[in-house]
Parts: sequence; structure tokens; C-alpha cells
Amino acid sequence: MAGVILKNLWKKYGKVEAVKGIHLNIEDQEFVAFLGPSGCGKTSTMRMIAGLEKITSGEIYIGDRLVNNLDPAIRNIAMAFESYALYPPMTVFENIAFPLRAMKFPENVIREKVQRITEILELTDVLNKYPKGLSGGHQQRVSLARALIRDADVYLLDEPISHLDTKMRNRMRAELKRIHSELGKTMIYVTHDQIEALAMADKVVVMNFGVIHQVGTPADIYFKPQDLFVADFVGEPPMNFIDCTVGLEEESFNACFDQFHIKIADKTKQSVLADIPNLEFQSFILGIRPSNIDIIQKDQMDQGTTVEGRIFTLEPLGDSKIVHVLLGDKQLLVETSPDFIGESDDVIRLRFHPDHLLLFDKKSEKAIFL
Amino acid sequence: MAERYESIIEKQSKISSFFRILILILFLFFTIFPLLWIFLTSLKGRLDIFALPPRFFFQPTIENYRGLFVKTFLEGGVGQTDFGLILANSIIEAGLGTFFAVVLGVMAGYACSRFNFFGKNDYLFFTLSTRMLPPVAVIIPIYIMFSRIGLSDTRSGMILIYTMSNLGLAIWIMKGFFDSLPRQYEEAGFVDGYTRWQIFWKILIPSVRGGIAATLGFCFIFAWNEFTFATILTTRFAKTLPPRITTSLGAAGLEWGQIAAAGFIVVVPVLILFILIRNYLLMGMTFGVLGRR
Repeated sequence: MAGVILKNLWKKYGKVEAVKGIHLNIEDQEFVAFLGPSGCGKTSTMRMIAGLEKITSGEIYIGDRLVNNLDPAIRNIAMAFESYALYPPMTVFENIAFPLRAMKFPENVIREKVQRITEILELTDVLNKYPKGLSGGHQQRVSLARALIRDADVYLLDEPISHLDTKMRNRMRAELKRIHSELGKTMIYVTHDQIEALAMADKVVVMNFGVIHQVGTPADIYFKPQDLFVADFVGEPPMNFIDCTVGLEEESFNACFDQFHIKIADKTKQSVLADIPNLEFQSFILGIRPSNIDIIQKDQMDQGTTVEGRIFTLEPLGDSKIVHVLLGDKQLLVETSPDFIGESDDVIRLRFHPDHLLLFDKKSEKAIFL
Repeated sequence: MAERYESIIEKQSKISSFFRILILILFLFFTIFPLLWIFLTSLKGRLDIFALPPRFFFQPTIENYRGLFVKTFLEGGVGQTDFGLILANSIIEAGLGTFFAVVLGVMAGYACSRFNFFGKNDYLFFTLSTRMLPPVAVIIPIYIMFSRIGLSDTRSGMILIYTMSNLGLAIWIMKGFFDSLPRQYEEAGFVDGYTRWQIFWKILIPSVRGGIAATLGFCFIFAWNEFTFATILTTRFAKTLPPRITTSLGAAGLEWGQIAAAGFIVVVPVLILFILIRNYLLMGMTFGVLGRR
């Protein structure tokens, strides 16, 4: 059992910089998700930890051992591949037993271990089949079983459930989380799906273009995104962003765009905004999640925190309804309850939850915590 | 309207399937009939061979097959002909030439599929170009080389020739098959503690069985049928069947019956091989791109 430490890790493919000097500390027994769009360097990072990709520069420690130049076999890691990489000439049983055979386990131990892992993953009835005849869901679970059967220090899972259908994915998310808590091992999980990352991981590492944007708990990532990329990438439906300026009016800081003014912080409170020089000449971006905007009745007018908009269109999604609202020439998404009734071109008022407003510096794209 | 349309389509598909079957029958006739005729001729006596109109029903005889191996009275007495030796030559030379080409081709194909090395593309082009050259273009230099180093009319010389001329194709076919296997096979094995060589044997080779079968088939058929090299480079000790058939001149002129019998003996292994590997042939021709998911 061991944690993983990455120190100033670089990966270059010719001139392309896939991973640009990242630092990361993964604790023992932690479930860490690398989250990012494709090409963000998450898979390269994982492959470097596995030893399948040469490190351009930097250091990787597994436990307290520097593994930079060690072969994958002696790093004591297990890995499940996105493409499953199941061996077609072997049965499911032989596929799962393959890593154990490398370690020369006696036959009865192999049988016992395969039995146990296949019971957890519900694969007992396909043990004698060949991978070709299995459904995608089965193949993915066989590939997981082949990784999890190992007694490894670190388990690397590369998009292990991304090819399953939604129903199966939901189930496997829970299964995996459960398996992690039962095994009590360090797991690194690569995914482009923010729901998977948030749902399963103890710690989420958000990456883009070879750089780590934020490391934090799922709640941190969701509620306190450190920059625009994280705020934009995480959350469904996506966060609304509005270009704005910030001004001091009537004892409070207001975000201003078009003719709208929204109160974002009191002057009396200690606010970082007070320390920004030439505040009124700076550009900012206001961020708010669709679920943090309320649609209010016309009679509950409250000029300070509400704005008037026009309904562009509605998307009923069952449990919720997404309302596209035009605010001047800007389009906002508002998530509301399914019993909201309205039609295109109706005029409505919106209230932004003041506690959930996020402000980003437009130039650096970093969040400003109010 | 829709009904009429459907019936037109049905009619069209009936007509087209009729023509398809007709064309297939014609094609079958053109390919099967010569074979059948060789077989029938090989079982005929001298009179039946030259009979006009041609006879389809006659008293069969195996005299022609016996005559291939045993000297006839007219050829000056008793003893064996050289046919047994030549049949053995063909089997050994084509067989071993194929074996070496496939063994080397599988390994080189794997190397070309997985590794980048200096001059890889030039190398791949070069190996294939040896197959594109007509044998006649290289026969004179090869003849001179062979006679200088004493490989003329030797089995090892012919095995070398067949290995060489098949290797390019073998490398290309096998490279195609290895390309179709994901690199994750090796990577998963590395992580689990296997060496590249172990994965190659345990996983990759069984996964490309079809490709190996196709390559075997192609190479063997090429070497077995090869005429030009065998005619020029061999005289007695290493001669193979194809040039031998053309020289079946007996004491009584052209022995058509024996030529037919020898021809049939040459064709049979090719036929059997084709039937055995027919499922893999298309895969082989497309270098493993088709026929695999």
C-alpha cells in the first residue's frame, strides 16, 4: 500500500507538451480522479505512473520509492485499460487469472481469487466464455476484474466505465466506490465525465492542456472552482458566465452589466474587492449555476437583487426544467422546478442567490473569493 | 404504388440473382473444367487421350501415375524415374522456404508494426519491391551469384530463393495483422509482469493465427508453383515439379497422360491448402484490415 507523489512532471511528444510540470500528492488509500477533456494530459500522466510512457523530466514516487526508471512490472501497480485489452484467445477465467500466473501462484489459490473477484463483479456465469462473445458491460468488468485481482500498491483505472450504457454506468459507479472502500487501496481514476469524478473520488484533479487547474474534494471543485475552466467544465447544465464590471454603490459592491446591477458583497464586510486598485476599470466575469437562479413572481419586486428577463425557450427534463432566459442580449440558463409554467417571450424576474455568486478576473481567469 | 414498386424491386432482384448465378456457373465451368480434364486425361490410356470426339467415359487406368515413378519398357528397362526425387525436392524446397519466410515474416512484421527504427518505411518498401520484380529481371545476377558460391542446383539454394522471394509479402501481411491488435495487449502484460517475448507467444501469436495461416498459404502456393527460378537455377538434384512437367518427353514423344498425372499431383496440395485456409485468404490479401473488427 502506498501513495503516489508527482514532482514537476513533464511529458513531451516531440514538440507537443502533453504534461507541463505538474505537482501532485496522492495519499495512501485515496480514490483520486483525473478529470479533464480529451487531450488534457490525464491519460499521459497515468501512463507515466504506470511506467508505460517515458518521463521527459520530473519525478514519480510510489510509496517512498522513486520509480522513474523502473519497469511497469516491478512498480506493483495494476491497470485497467479503456479499450479493455482482453486477450481474445483466452477465456474470461484465463484472462482474469493471467496476472496471477505471471506471479506463479498455485492453481488452487488462483481459482479461489478468481472466484472471489468474479462474485463481486457478477461474472461467474461467463467464466468459460471468450471475450469476443461478451457484451461491452461484461468486457469492461472482466478488464476491471483483471486489474482488481492483483494485490497491487496502486490501481490505475483508465476510463473504465466510459463505454457502458447509462444504466450500467450508474451501477458500476456505486460498485467501484464500494470496491474501493472494501479493498482500501490507492486508486487513480481517469475520466472525462465530471459526474463520475464527483460521484466517486475522494479527491478530484481537474486538468486541461497538461496543467492541473484545481485539486480538491468534489465539493470544493463544484462550489469553489478556482478558475473559469473548472467552473465551466464541472456542472451540468453548465454555469452561466456574464461579462461585467464591479462598482461600489450604496455601501455594497455591485456587478454591473447592461443596465443591470447585482449586489455581490457588502462594503462593510472585509472584501478583497476593496484592495483591488482601479476596481471600476477592471473587467470581471460573473458566474452562477443555473440551479442558483430563482424565477420570482412579478409582484415580489426587489430591485437590489433581481433582474428582468425574457424567456427564450424551455426544456422540460423531467425532474427539472431548464429555462433559457434572455437578459438583454445575453442568454442565461435557469434550472427550475418542473411545475414552472411559462412561454417563450414571457417577461420574468430572476433572483441570483447571493451566496452562490462567483467572480472571476477576466484577465487571469482566476476566481476572486468575496 | 408502393406495392408495385416493391414488386419491381423483387423482379429486379430476381433477374439480378439469375444473372449472378449464370455468371457463377460460367465462371465455375472455366475454372473447374480444365482441372477435371487434367484429372480425366491422367486416367486415360493413350488411345482414349487422342480419341475424337473426346471421351468422358472410358476404362480408367493408373498406368500414367505408375509411369511417372517407374521407368517403362520403352525408356530402357527397369528402375525408378527421377520423379520421386523431384516430388521430394518440391515438398522440401517449397515447404522449408515457406517455413523460414513465415517465421521471419512474423517476427519482422511484429517489429515493423510496433517499433520505429531508422529507415523503416524504406525497408518496408524495399521488401515488398522484391516481390514486385519479375523473376526474369533478377535471374541472371542470381544465377551468376549462385554458381560462384556453389548454390546452383542445390536444395539449400532453392530454399534461400523461396524464403527471400516470399519474405516481403509475409512481412506485409503479418504487419497488417499485428497493426490490428491494440498495443494495450502488451501494455497490460507489462503491468502484470510479463516480458514482451512472453506476451508475443502467449497472446499475440494465438491472436494472429488467421494471418499466419493466410501467409503460410500464400507463400507455399507461390513457392510450389514457382517456375522461372526453378527452371534456370536447377538441373538435376534440386529440380522441382513445375519445370519437370514441361520436360515429360518420353521415348514415345510427349507423354500427355503423364503430364496430366504430374499436373494433377501438383494441383492437389494447392487445392487442399486453399480449402483449408479459404476463410483467411481475404484477410491476408487486405493485410489484415478487412475481416477483423
